[in-house]
Amino acid sequence: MLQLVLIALRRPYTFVVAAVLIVILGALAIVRTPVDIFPAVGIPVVSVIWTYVGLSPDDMSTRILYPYELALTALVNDIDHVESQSYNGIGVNKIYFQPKVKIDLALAQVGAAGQTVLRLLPPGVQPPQVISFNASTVPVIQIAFSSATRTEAEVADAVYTLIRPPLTTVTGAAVPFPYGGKSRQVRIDLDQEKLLGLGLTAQDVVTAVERQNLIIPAGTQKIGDYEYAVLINDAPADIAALNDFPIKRADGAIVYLRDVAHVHNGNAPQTNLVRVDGAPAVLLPVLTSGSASSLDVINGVKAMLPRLKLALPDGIEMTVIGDQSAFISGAVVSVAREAAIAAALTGLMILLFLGSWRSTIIITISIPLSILAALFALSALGETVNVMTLGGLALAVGLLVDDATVTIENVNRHMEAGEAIDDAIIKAAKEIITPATVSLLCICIVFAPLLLLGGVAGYLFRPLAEAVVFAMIASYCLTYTLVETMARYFLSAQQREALREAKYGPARRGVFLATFTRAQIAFERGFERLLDTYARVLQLALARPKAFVAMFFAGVALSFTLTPFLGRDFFPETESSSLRLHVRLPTGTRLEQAGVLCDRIEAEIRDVLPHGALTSIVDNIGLPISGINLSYNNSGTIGTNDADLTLSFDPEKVADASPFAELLRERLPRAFPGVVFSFLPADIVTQILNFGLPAPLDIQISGSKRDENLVYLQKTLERVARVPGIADPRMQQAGDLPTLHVDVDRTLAQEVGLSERDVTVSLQTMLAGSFQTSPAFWLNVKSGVSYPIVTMEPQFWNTSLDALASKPVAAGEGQQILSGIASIRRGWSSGVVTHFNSQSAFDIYAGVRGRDLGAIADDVQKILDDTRKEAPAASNLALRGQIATMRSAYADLLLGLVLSIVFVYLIIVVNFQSWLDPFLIVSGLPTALAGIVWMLFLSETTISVPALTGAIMCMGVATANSNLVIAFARERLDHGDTPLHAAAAAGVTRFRPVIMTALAMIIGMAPMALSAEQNAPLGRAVIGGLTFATMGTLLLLPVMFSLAHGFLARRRAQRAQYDAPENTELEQANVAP
Amino acid sequence: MSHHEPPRLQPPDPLAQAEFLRRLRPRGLVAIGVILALVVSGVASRHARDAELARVTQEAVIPTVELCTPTLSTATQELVLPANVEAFVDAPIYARVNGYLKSWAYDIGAQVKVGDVLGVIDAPDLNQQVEQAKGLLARSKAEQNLARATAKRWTTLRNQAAVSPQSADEKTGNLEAAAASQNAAQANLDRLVALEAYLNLTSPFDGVVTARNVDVGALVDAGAGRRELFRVADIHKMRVYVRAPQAYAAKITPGLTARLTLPQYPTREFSTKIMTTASAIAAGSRTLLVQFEADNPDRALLPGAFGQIRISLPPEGAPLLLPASALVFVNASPQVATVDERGVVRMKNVKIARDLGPSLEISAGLSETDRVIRTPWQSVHDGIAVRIKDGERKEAQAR
Repeated sequence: MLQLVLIALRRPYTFVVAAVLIVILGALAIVRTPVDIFPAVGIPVVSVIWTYVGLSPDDMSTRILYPYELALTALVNDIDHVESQSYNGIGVNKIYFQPKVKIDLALAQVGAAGQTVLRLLPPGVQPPQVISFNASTVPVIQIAFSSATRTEAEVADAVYTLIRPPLTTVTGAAVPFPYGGKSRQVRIDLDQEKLLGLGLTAQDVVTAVERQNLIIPAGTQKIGDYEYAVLINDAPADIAALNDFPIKRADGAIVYLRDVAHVHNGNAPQTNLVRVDGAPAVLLPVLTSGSASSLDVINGVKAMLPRLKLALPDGIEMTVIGDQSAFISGAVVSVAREAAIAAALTGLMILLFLGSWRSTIIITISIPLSILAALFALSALGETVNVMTLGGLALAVGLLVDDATVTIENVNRHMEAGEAIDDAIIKAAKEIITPATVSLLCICIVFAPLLLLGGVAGYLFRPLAEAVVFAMIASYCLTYTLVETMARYFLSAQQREALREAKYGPARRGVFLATFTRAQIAFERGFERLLDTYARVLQLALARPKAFVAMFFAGVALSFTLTPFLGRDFFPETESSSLRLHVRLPTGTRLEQAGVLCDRIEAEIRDVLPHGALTSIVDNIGLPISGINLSYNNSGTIGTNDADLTLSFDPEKVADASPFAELLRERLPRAFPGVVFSFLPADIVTQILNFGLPAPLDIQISGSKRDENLVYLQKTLERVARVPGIADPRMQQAGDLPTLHVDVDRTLAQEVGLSERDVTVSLQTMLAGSFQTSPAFWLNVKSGVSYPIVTMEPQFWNTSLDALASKPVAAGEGQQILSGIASIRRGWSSGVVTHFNSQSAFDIYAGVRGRDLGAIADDVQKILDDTRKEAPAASNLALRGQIATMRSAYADLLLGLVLSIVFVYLIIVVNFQSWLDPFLIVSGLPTALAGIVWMLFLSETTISVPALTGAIMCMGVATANSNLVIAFARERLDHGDTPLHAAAAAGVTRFRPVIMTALAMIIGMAPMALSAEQNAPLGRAVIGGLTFATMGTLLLLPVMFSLAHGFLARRRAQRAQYDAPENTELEQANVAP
Repeated sequence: MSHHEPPRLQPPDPLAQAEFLRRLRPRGLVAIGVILALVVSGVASRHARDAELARVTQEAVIPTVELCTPTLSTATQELVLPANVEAFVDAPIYARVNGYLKSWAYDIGAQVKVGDVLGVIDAPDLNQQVEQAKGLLARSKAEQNLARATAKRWTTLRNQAAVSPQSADEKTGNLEAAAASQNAAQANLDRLVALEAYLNLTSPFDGVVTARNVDVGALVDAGAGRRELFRVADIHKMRVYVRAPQAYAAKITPGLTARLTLPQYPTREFSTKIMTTASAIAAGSRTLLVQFEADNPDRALLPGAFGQIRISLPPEGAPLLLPASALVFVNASPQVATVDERGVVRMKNVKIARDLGPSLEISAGLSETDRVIRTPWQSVHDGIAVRIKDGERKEAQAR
């Protein structure tokens, strides 16, 4: 380091160029680095999506997903856990990997496993779709399409074929299938009566389509000089042509498809309905994938939209909703602004303290340079610019000036002692370098535990810790390079000026400067008085050391009694000007009825909420057509009876919509009995933290004893619902899907010449359509898009139980109706089946309101512990979700706190070569914690991960300050002062630098503490902790020092008395040889 | 610079310290007071908030329910079966004589009265046979006349005992034989004349010609099993045949009315009535053949048509009707959740008589005064206190 100082002095251009380089690289990093709300949560998830139209959730889970899950355990490495959801016709298997997994290998293995089990699965099942994403992927922008003139199927088709493919080219954008609308298909509407009249079955029609609609190349023929391509009309270009497919010859006439069915351009039975303010729409969400920046994705999408609009057919309107860019850039800009304000305030403070603009410039210039250097380093490590890294930098601002301040002050001191500038700088650097290195180590070491943090919290806070550490290292390096160079020029100029002034009287100064000088003098006077008061108080305390220490620790201990009132959260709540309401209608409610009910719910919502507050309501009702959407879905939708209502408020009028949620929580359940309402996190921060779950609390029981588990969890739901502050507790797995069981009497069927297969195939063609077992396609030659051909009886012809009972199951002579050979009984089946690690699982989801997550989770945990014996012993009962992440984060952080104290202690032991003094320093640290408790208590802030991070930060700064005091006291002790005198001298001498460091930090944190951002608790904790820690450093530490060293001195004196003769002998013995 | 002055460390002056302490004391007391006040207010506000929260949570635990009361069921269950429509009477017309069709008078679809000639068969050989028979008759008549005269003469002679009885008896016998012979010839002629009448194909009853399979000049062979020449159907009424599954056999009794629909009349329904059943289950298809009768005044029903019969099966007994959503299955036994006067859930076992789809007929376990939860939740059980939806509570109070 000292070599660097020499270089700085002898080759001054070196570090000026280095600074310029930092500015350029830092600026480049700012421009180039993606901006995002949070660091990427790189916990890899692979979603495997199985589709089998019409398969019930129970069958989907047992026939498809379970065999696959078993295969996964054997074939895929590094799995953390596997979850799956089985819906009607769709199964989604999510594989969560260990963070260290090689995702490319994992994807290959997952895909291969799908191929392996394919033969074991029901015939006709397609290989699964495999997508990789990360669990915190959330929609960052949504585009709604609606039309007054075109059908929903046309709109959906246009979005799917014209909009979605180009959007996927936006770097980092993940675009699932559109929500809502109707998915276009070529429909063959069977007329059962006509089929029967002609003695045909649905299967005949399916077979006819298979035989008449082919995609087989005919080949080429060589005639003369040419080789001709031979094309055959094996696939009709026109949908209407399908109507003319012959089916069979009967009574001398040809029966055509049109005689028994109607082929038309139609759509699949709708399962997903989206409405924007009541008007049907198609919604295309865009998510971020991989490490791309949300902001880049949003901007990329928005830049592409005008061009896409031109491609859309006339009459389709396009509107952007749920654009998160304002929120993200707002959050990032406000953190950046906080950092800037903090830097400015810190600079101002230094100016007040030093009263020299030259020194201030030298010191403050290291703030932007360190930040730029840290940004460059973060960018090089692949971190985005986000709230956490910027928060870390804001946190560091107050610390960055420390080293430089101490150095400059020391240089000044040496120069006042009459030394030449170069000598002064070198001497000053020599003196300072050890304590500065120690405090750098202290601060870096306290952040080390953050690097060990696991899970989501780890991904979020690691960059923060990195930011602080990089900035600190940069500042440290700058202090011995650039600062020295600048000091050489600036301070020598200052010296010359001072000399000139001494010779020719004060130079003429401007009004501004004069005012400032007066203010500075006034400040100095005030500070002197404060110092004076402090000296008296310190002497008072030193006079009664034991009483003081006892009182002090009693005060600290009493402060800790406030801890239970604080509450524990994972992260502080984020305000949002929108609400997401999940509506679960009675299980099995059909889509049309769900739409009607949602209309009524919307009307009630508009009635309840104050007029004019609400700007729009977007409904997303039912199950999206693709499992890909279900993979990204985090609202817990299980079928057409589920709806997500997004209520957007005018952000000008309503900054925080949560009071409205309370209002609706009270009113809606009373107005709509039988409907379960729950509020989902609307802001992307909480969505990211929830890690793909719809709620922060997830009580999950899994195991093979399904029924017992269900009964237990149902009882638990009633108990849990009474925990104060629990919000919207609900059972996720609806087991009451109304079901009609068709029990075919196989013997009777055999008697009349039918088999179970005949009945099943008849029913499938009528109720589910032919596509799953006999896929066929029609190519739209104009657009080049292929559409499925589905043979099915129109749903609106089957509207009663009698219609089902009267379904003909075979044509021809042995004409039978379903109820003739089968009985139909009512029953229930699962609306959704969940597996956790391939065991059947049930979940209770619950949110929180008005109380901290930790307390609610404790109450819930107690209920679970008390009733554990009611559940099957082999079942696995767990509290999952944000609370689990919070618990592990707390455990990690508390361990980190303890470890950081131990590490800090060990470092200063090395520094002081003493066990005692570091112990004194460390024993003062609880004071900082007491201060944090007070601050959080008074500001009604809960303990949270940011607050704990703040606590860790405090440990570092408090230790660094205490070091200064102890170092000085020891110095005095070595010079022969009494412990009492040394302590008093240390306190008074170090008062100023300690106050300066602490004040710089507190001022730096003030903007953050006053904001309503995620990091506010961090700022508050640092301010509270540091305020108290400074008191500890300045009062408690000297008193304890004098007490301890006084005791040691007395003991030494006593020993000296007793051991004097032996000592002399010993010395003589040592000297003698 | 000022802050580099050596620290002022005057030796502590006990008097000054005491004075300082005295001045510090009131400030300290005030500070402690402020701190205590902050603590008390902070804790109190948290307590108040927790109490309010506990109240709100307790409130939220009570579910709101919508009630419904069972009504007497008049609903019928509909059974839809494929049906074959046939004419009330249906007659194929065959030729009784061989010949060529000379002419036909009515084409398919024509209304005919009984006796109307549908077509005429040209059979020249038959005419010749008649002529021959006539000749034979004339001859036998002549022979009979001769025999009669001879017999008369010989009878007179016998009376005069001029001839032997033997020869007289012979002559009398000859007369009887000649008479018989004439009768035979007459009968032969009559037969051929009658056959000649069959040259005209006539309608056996009032009806509609539903088939004409010959044209002029076609060779027609006599007898059944040959070509059917015409078909006449009486369609003023129609018979409808339905094969009902065995499961419904007990419920299908003569007199039940049903509605017939036809693909060609998507909006029209024809009323029919069960006339009779086969009273036997067909072994091959395990079905009961049921015969319906339908009036056909406007000839809309056509014989041979395929249709669907919708039989409305009446409820048995006087069951109560409930929305199907009210049903809960507990251990596979159907239950409903009722709410008593105190607003507490009481589960009741019920017996489902029939499932009508949107609603259920309950035959036992429920009374008309019960208040049933319309959409109970999955885990509803006895003893849960519920809140009744606002509008209904007022109604209940009014009652």
